[in-house]
Amino acid sequence: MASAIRAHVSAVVLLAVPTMVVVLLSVVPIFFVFSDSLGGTANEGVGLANYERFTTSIFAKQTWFSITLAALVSIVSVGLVAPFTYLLTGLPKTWQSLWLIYLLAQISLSEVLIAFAWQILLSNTTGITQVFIWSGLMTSTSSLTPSFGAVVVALTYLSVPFAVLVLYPSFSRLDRRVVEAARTLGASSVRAFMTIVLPMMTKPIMTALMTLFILNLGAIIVPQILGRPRHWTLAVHITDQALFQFNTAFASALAIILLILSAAMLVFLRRYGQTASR
Amino acid sequence: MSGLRISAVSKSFGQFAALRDIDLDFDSGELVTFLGPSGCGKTTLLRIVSGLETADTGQIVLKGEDVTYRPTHLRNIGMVFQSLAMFPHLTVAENIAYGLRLRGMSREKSKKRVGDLLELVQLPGIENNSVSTLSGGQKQRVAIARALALEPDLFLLDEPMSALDANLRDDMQIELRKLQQSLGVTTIVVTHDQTEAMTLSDTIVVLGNTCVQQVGSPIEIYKMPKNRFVAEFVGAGNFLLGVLADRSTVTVGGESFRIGSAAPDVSVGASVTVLCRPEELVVVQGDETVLPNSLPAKVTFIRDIGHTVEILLDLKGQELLSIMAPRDCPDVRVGQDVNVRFPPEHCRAMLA
Amino acid sequence: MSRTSLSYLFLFALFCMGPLAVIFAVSVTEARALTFPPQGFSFRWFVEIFSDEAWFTALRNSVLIALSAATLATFLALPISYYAWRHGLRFAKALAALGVLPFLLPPVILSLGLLLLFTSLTWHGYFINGVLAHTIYLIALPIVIVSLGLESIERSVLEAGSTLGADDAKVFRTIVVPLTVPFVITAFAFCIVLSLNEYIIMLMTVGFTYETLPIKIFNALRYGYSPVLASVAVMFTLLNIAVFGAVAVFSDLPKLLGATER
Repeated sequence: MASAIRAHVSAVVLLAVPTMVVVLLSVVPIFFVFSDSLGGTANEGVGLANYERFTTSIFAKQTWFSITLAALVSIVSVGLVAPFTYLLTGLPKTWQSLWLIYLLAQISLSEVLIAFAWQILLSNTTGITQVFIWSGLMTSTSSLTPSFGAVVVALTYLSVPFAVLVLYPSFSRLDRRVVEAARTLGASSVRAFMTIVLPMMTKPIMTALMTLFILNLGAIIVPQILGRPRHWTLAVHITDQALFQFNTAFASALAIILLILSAAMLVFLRRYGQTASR
Repeated sequence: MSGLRISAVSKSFGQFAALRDIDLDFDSGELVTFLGPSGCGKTTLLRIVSGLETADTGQIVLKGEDVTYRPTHLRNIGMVFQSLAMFPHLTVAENIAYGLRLRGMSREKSKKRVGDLLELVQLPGIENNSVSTLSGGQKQRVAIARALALEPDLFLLDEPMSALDANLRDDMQIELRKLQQSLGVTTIVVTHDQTEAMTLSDTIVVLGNTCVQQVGSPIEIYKMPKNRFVAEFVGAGNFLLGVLADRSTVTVGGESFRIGSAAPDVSVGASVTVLCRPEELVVVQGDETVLPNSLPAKVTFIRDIGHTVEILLDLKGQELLSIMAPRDCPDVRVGQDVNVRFPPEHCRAMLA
Repeated sequence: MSRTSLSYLFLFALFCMGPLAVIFAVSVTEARALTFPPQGFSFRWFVEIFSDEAWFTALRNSVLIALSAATLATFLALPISYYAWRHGLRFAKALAALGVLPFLLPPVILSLGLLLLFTSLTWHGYFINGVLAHTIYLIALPIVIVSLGLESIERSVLEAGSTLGADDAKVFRTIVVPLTVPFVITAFAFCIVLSLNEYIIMLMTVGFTYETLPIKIFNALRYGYSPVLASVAVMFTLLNIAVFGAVAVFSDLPKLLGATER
């Protein structure tokens, strides 16, 4: 009994600081965002003015654009990644480790640097256009950026390693004998993948889609560097309003909208997705 | 001298009662197995003895001392876990020396002791191996050496052989028994494997349905089961239903059956089950005149596996099994009508 | 493996590594302007990261923030993970869930909140702002990774310790700590790498007074191309690979990322 009480006391002491830090730095700031969103630039008092402005301006359109962009990128990325992850988990362990090291390195690489890499790759002097001209696909040099396509490609590049990491645990647990069984029953490997593996992996794939959706909803750098202003996402407008238009109240309102969208997706994810725990 | 006394121990987990009113008393130096199906509470009882669980009520007395509320690390026990629970970050020697070093034994002394223990479990010279490189059997021995390092008052093993394959298991059972006898340490083994229990034990405790069903020597348990649960769990059996007419007669379907013994808690006039083990059941060619204590049946399957012949029989819809030595086996075919004799001295009546 | 599978793997690898390969090529080009095909060979742009004062300051700022935030995040996460695991404290579990949340949501939301918080405290662009912002953003990693490590310890291993005479404190010191340290180091490494590469939170909380490397890169990008950018990208890629390579050597990376033994 005495030891149980001692354990309790030490728990209180050791958890006090982390609790303070976590609450102070996560709950309190969100509260600030919320309360600011109800205020105005010129002290118009508490109200929903910022939200009204949102509904009647281009920002609503840009929000819809953000959602479409995030959905598109998520679908493209997961489509690319699902077959890859299946192949990856069939490789010997050393190769798996090497791929994972690389993908973790790519995932952590600053979004700024990735945007930069694609800018070079898509510019008119280097990269892909030169290859296209050399191979006869294009006749004259022209830059492929800024464009919607450039934004989608670069965001896909950012999303791909995330998707692998989300799908990896489930695919590595997949019993490959079911695929062998399908092969003995006359399915080609592609067909076996489409008709057996994908249906078995519906849940992890949904999880990956939702995770990537949230990730891309927050995209900030790529749309600025590789897109035109009409390709700016909600997240870009939040920073723009807060840092350059000095309208933190409106930025807060936009942030609350982004928060609601992401939180809704998180709730959805918790309900229908696969938890990461084993 | 009493090595371990368990009195009136009960334990439940929430709504679920795991053990009810367990009373047991073992001599020092005895090897006891807790035998029972999964979920019967045998592991829980072992964990209460070790102090890893606390009983809701009751008392644990180890070598005359009440240890009911003593924490595990002060009980001086050695335990082998089902998963073996090797410390993955330590070498073989460090695993074995763990307890010794905790008690402040010097490096040289513990090194010597580890060497002796590895000798004892017949694995000399693997001190510096990593435990992850060991085979299942080797891990088993290291786990035993680790548990014995502190010369415990009580040696506990929870399903110790479950990770081993069948051949290795047979060898390890014999080896463990010899080791235990040479050390004379009071030992409890938890198992669901009746062969293991029969091989190892001085005393078997059959646990079922949260209670002690029977305590006895292996052969007592096998030959004189107290009830149908024990009879069915330990070995195969043929069962007939009837009514106890007197202590040596049971009425089965209107006919009198002589029996060798009846469980003590059965009274005259009670519905009983009569047990006859397959190796005692005798198949007789059917055209002979009806013998006492026998019933007509039909042969449904014959399995001749060389050293024994197993005959499956149909007795009015009930399946019987007879196991006979080839030289005693009558020449019967599938589909043939035969007589099945239940020798009275091998028939035991117990509560249904 | 079939030919279809191999080609798919190859194309996937090309998509992932192609852009980085181009950057590698550009980073060792002699010329200041972008040209194709690359001309000359030189490491001068790598030298410039360290010799140019602006670049070096940005690098130093990033490293200082990464080290401080990773240390703080790791130490704050340890008791949370431990109490959630060993004692199953509901409070600790809730705290762990709350701690993971900032990492799951778009970082711009939290950074705006932190900006408002720091402004209300009149903390304008202090170093500590950046450290705290990254601490709360990254604390999810040690919480998750250390919890994974703790959960991989079998209960029976701890029980074996107590049957061999170890009390709770000794079980903690001789079993829990040595088995968890690799995960703590891994978590720390993840934090360092992510902090070094992170842009938006730094921009919102300290961006105008305290230029970290990603901010410096972003600003440089707006003023046009510089080969130093490519050399920074290469340096970061190599650093990331080195760190995760070390993690892979140190622990079982597939298992850490959720694969099961087969």
